[in-house]
Amino acid sequence: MTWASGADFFAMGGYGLYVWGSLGMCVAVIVAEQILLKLRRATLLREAHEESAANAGDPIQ
Amino acid sequence: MAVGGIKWFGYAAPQRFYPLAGRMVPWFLAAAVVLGAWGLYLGLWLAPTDAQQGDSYRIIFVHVPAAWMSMVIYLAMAGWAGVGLVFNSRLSSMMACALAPTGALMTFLALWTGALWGKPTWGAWWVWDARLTSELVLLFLYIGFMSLHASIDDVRRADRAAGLLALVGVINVPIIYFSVKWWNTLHQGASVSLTKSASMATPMLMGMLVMALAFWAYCIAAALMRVRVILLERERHTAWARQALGATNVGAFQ
Repeated sequence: MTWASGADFFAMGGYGLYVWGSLGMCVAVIVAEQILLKLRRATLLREAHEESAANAGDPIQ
Repeated sequence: MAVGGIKWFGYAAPQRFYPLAGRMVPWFLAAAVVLGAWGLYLGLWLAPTDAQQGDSYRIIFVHVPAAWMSMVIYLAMAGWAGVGLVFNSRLSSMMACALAPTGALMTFLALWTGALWGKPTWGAWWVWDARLTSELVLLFLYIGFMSLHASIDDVRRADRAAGLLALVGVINVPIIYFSVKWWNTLHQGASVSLTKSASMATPMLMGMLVMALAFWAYCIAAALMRVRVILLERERHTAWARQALGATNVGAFQ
């Protein structure tokens, strides 16, 4: 067993800032990438629907 | 062409690839979650404290996978860009565009986690040594690829220009990989290589390899998700894309 307690685990032998700072940034980057992807898709969907609605009201089409 | 009864080039058609990629995404995401949980359990829980570096070495479980992916994704991006240039295939160039942001993020993570590892072990967040500098150049190559692509209005011309940049930049990848051999650097040499047995304890090595697989799975999932959005963006006026977008008057342009 590597860790004596939960606090021991979070302290990471005095390197907690560095270890959790690394892991935390990885999680943050992945979450940010997923949010940006969702936003990009949502923007595309909105624009496509606006275009579609505009074309539907156009008698020439 | 039909090899073994499968129409391989059929999947290069955007309207076929779009649903195929959509079916693959959840599997790669699930693999990333399972492998990530397993890898962190191995790395943070089972692996013992390092005799020299204490627990700071545990950064390796994200640092090495991120650094590997930063190089692998670059090679994949340049490969797809090259195929796009040679065969003038739209989907290949879209794949290159889909890989670039994820590659840039992996490069950033390699640099960030490296800085957080360098401070306690070398006493410096950053040094201008060959490994670190060439990895920073990689980040600039990714940013250059995306900026160049974004700056050209005609998307097919943008594909060709950015693709050429990606191909020229490939020279940087072996420089990163061999920098620790070619130059006298502060960065340690490879802990794992194909030519000699790994210089690491088993749970450490296992944790690192499982985390590397988790990063692979995540990056593939992210690239597939992005290429699906790019496909719809570029093909939005075609019937299949309008259907996929749920547009009301699919037949309006036919």
